Amino acid sequence: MVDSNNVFAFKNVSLLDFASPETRASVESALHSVRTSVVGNTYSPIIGGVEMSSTDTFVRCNPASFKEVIGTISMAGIKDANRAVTIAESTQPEWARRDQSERSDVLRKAAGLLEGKRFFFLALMILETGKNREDADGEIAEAIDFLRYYAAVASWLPEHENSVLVDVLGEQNSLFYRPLGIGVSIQPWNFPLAISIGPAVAALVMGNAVLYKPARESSIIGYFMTKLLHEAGVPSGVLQCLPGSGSVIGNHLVSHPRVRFVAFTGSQEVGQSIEDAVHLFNKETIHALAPEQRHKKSIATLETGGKGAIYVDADADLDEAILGVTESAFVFQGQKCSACSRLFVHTDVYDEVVARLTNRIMSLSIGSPERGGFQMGPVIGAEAHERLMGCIATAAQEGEILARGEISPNIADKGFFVPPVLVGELPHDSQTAQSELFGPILSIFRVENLDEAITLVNSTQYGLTAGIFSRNEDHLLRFAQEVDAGNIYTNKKITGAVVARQPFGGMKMSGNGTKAGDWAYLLRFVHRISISRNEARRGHAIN
Amino acid sequence: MKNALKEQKFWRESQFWDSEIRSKIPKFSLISYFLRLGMGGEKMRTQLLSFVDVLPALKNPRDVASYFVQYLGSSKDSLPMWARQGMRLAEYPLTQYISGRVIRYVITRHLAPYFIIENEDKLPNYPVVIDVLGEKVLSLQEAEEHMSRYHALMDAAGVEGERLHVAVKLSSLFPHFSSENWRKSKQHVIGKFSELLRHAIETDTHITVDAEDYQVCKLTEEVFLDVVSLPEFRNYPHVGIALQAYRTDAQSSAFAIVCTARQRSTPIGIRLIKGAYWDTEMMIADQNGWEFPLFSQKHETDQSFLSVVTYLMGNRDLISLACGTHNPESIAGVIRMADELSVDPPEFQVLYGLGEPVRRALASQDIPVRVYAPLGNLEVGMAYFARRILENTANEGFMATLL
Repeated sequence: MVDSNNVFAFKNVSLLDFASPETRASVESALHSVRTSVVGNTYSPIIGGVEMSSTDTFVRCNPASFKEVIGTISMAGIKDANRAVTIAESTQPEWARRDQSERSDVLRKAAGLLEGKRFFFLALMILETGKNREDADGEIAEAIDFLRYYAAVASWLPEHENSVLVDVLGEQNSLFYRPLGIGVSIQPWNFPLAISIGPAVAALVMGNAVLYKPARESSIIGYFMTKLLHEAGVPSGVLQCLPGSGSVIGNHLVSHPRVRFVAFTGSQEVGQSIEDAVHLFNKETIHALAPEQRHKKSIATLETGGKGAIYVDADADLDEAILGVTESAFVFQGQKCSACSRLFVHTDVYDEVVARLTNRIMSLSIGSPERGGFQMGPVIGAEAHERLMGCIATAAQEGEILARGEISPNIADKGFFVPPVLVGELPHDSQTAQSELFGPILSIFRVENLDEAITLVNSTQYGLTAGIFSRNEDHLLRFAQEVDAGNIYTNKKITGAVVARQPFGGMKMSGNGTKAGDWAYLLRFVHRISISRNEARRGHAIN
Repeated sequence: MKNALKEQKFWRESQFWDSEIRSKIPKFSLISYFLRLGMGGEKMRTQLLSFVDVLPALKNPRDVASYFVQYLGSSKDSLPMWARQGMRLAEYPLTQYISGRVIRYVITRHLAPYFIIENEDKLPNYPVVIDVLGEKVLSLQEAEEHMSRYHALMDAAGVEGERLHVAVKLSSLFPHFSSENWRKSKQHVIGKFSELLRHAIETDTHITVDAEDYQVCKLTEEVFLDVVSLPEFRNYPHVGIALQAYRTDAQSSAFAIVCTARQRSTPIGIRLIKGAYWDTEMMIADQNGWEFPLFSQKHETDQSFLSVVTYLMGNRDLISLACGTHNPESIAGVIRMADELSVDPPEFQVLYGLGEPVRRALASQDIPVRVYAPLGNLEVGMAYFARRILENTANEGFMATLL
């Protein structure tokens, strides 16, 4: 295998090899064991290492078979949140005083633990969120990669920072990091492990404390993630898990005067409200604090959705293009901010693409990810199901449904299954063409040339992912230079960004430009402090 | 002493085959000219092949000309004079149309027919095994269409005496054929392959399951071995599978096939080849963080080839062996192995066009040889062929076997 070609010798963890019968058997036995050991239990908030259930609970069902209860989740309330802040404040300073290498080691230990538990998390992910095996494995690999990558970057950064400073005789200049303090991390269900663990451990490795609020639909994974990090050595006061309502716990912690930073991934609307809350705090609330307390709140990371687009050029390899498009649009039922929901096709190949794409969509089989053998599974829950069926109805009115997959009557009323849909003839300003649907609804548009394609790709408020299938080098270059997207792909699918290979984050309304799985990410969680020492009288002038 | 003599004899035999094959290479033809052009200069070869790959997607002659310039422009200096002049013409709008047509004509009508057979009427009169070329199968409909071309071939052949030989890729029978989709893939493809095999028996056709990339190797073998063991098919001898010697686990696959043949007590065919996806497998292994499943050096593959041949010839009551190679040393080695076992040499298989000198050399020595013939649209087929070469430019790839 090719040696690591990266400055800190980082290598992505291997994906599972499903060709191996042992791997396939391990998945089956993990599903069995998760059923017996996890399913049906109650999961409480983890505050100061203590799990205390409350009467405020909700039930999480298997989205593929909604009569099956996966677990009951006890919710944290405002009092719990306040208590957690106090605990975090008392434990964070010790964590921050430790050597950087010690904290990095904790992350590395967690990576090893997670690698050892990858089948467990894979099975849990299948049952709690309806992801299929391959996709779940990719996500767990991403989580392991975040741990190892951020551990390596944290050790490398100080050296790098100081290597770009100028020293002069008699003056020694250096730059060091001080963690921001306590932060709140609010993360979604669609990458229930990776997107929860990334921001949390990035903050932790730099010496911060994190109050983590998992999504309702993936609080069990959030619970086990927290336990794993504790097991690896993260002090229990420094990482606390507070499942509950975003509008209650989330809001409270975002506006809490002693919470210094927010890490958020979710919808553009909620992201906007968080930005407003932080702005309001920094503009008004902060002045009510004692002067020495006036640390501005920051939004460390913000990722708020996308409306991914792919352009298929006249000279594209259609085999590759159609495969790339269907993967980007329909894997995990399109529930990814990176998903392709808009397809622009050069008029010369439009008919052929519609025909082959339609046939492929009709060939996708839909069913329970636990059974396996299906290209698509259920959407995350009842709300999503209802919303998406509504979106399909809207799409049918705004444009024309060109293809609609079939859902077997056996499963249709047992789980939250939404058919894959291809919609054509849509006006560019239609709701279907502009809003993030977060489902398996793909819009297709005919374009005359690359110029038109680029203009249309840029025509939404989002700027996260985009791709082009073309064999014209000039077109590939122009696309990369002119498209407003933080993650651009040529001749490949636009989902499945890998740590340290495709640092992930976008522009416009998709976020604030932070890139996950990138070296600069960790800087979002620290103060960078310059210190300049006068060494003239110490006989160090000649160094 | 004995070993040294053996070595010498082996060397002489290899040399014999080497010169036999070379003597059959056409000296003065457009093809040999292009082949020599293609062999020298890796950059230009890659550019030319990439151009051939994109050609079917270029709808009008102006595009053909401008892409030709875009793709090969930077290699202008290594091109022969006539090509440089042609390229200059291709840059002007007035002459673009003509040069575009000429380029397409030369590639599609002169180059491609050397590598691809357009339709059943153009089949040569020597023994062939037909591979039906097509796009990747991306839907159930495309799978049905692809299969129907095999059914049509089987219907059309039949009566005249010469048994029809076809090669089929299992991935073309199901759009979601992959190891991640193991159970469904097996279930579906066992059904589809059985349909083909049933028809093959009715029409006395020989079917070989082609080898594809490593990720679907085990799946392909399991499907194949399950199907040929079914009561309905267990007595049919004209069914086989390709085995790639460049796999480090080639021997264990050979063993599994021999075991199945023993259980069904009817011979199974094996087409032993070196392997044609080397570069691709490197990329897949690197991108997924997996161990590279192939031998990393060409001589290891050559060795694996000969030792698997020896093993299979030792089980010749159960295995009908065909050896796919253009390499004179390998050819000499196989013939010698047969000699030592006092049996007739096995059938050799070569690629249509590129393997023609080898075919003629073997035929002139009365050694049975069959030609692997890709059948399909000339332009699309040529693009497919170019892609295969692009995916295997390393010396360990099958390009080395062509030289």
